[in-house]
Amino acid sequence: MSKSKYVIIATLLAIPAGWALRAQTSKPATLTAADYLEIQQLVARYSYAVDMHGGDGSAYAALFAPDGSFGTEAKGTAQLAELAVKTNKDRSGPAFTRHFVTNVVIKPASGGATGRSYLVALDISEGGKPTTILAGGHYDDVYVKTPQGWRIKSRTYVRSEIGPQPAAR
Amino acid sequence: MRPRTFFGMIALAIVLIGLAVVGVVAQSKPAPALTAMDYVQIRQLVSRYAYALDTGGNNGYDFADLFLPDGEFIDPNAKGREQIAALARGSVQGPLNTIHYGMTLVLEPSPDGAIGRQYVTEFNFDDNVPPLGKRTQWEVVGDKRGDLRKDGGQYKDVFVKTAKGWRFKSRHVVRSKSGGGTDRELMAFLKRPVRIKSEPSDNVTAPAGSLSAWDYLQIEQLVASYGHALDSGFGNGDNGDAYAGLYTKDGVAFTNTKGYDALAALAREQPRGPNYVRHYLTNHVIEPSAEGATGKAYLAVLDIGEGGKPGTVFLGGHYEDTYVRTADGWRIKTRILLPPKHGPQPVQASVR
Repeated sequence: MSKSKYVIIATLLAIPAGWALRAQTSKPATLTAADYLEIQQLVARYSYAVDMHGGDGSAYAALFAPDGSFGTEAKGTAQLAELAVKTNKDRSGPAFTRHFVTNVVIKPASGGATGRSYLVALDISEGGKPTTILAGGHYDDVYVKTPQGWRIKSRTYVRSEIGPQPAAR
Repeated sequence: MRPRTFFGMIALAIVLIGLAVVGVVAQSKPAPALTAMDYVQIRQLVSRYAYALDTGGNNGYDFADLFLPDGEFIDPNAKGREQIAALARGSVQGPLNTIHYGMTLVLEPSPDGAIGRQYVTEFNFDDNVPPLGKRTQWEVVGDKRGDLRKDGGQYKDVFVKTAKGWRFKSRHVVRSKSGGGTDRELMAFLKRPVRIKSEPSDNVTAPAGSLSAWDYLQIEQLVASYGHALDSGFGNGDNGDAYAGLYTKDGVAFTNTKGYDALAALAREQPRGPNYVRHYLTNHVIEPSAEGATGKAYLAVLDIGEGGKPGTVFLGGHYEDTYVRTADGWRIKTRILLPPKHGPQPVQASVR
């Protein structure tokens, strides 16, 4: 092939690429009502999946994109499923409720959406013991829309920590 | 006669097989998708539940009216309007009582309407909170002013859409319990895609006096932001600007804190940190109003134990709000906090 042919092909390829880039940079990211609702459902399903530890962990892994990750602990469907199976094995079950999540804030972002939500992990009374607050903090999420719907691209759990008290003025 | 009987039997067999096939097809056909407004309205119904149950408003009938006339509550069992109303009557019920905190509502369309599940935890807040005195807000972190009740777990719900809106057909209390193997039905549900029927009108604000799905969602997002803004400034540590930014320019918090500077100063008195969480809000009910919208939400201020200390319940109650549309989106115009108290109250107590 002659040099000019390469130039023509490169130019032809560059035009749509340029359009795509321009469309991405000039249009602010937005979400529809359905996007908000679907991501809210995804976030709510997470608690059930993690507390139920269903069988092989596949219900937990299914909430994530195929290359999704939880913290630095698990990346990809196989590791996520394994994480769900092995974590707190004795404290789980179809009627077990521990991960109480609220204050779910979702924001559009280039390529999808981000989210932040509060977790309080409760040990609900069993066998007459009092209900206690086990832990708490927030989730930092990135969501991506896949052909199967919105999925978690990454979720990071950050435990609550009070900051330093400012000096009295 | 014999051939006729023979052909008759074949004809009957064909009809039966045909009916069976129709039945299977009808059953395997997915239920019609819910609209965005259906999701919003079912969530509103579920949020109203807590107020109706905890206040016992209208002698328990506010609670009963959330159910179909032949609706059912399971564990404790009650069926029909009278029995269900009776569940919402008792010595603790009153206008300032906040016990039931619902979270993590999941929904799915069903042939009758919708089915869902929701987590619920129950609080017993102290009726009388000691005054701050000379201590700063930082010094009272970890003070114990209430408990979590032993009850808690999840609801399993069936919803039906009536001419008056969405109602509970049934609500089944399932107390939290570890163990018990795998729930195949729940696993299959968690893996099914969420289906929402979208309308273009879902994505724009409604004319004054009414609210679109978009408006409900944006007001929910505003109120969901409250804890983040106050506790961490959305992770940047300075909560003043983030907190004041939730309000209109002339916004008023707690009847005496008005405008950006005062609101920012109020937030900066509160304990905070880039990763701090303390204000948990839920049960957010929203109503359209001439000015924009009104709303109420339950508050639980929880002090998560750090360094191995147990977590404690600091404060409860509910907020009552007004919201307005601004050029930057929905903002809080007024917010008051009604502290929790068990039992009936003098009329004035609820209109602080």
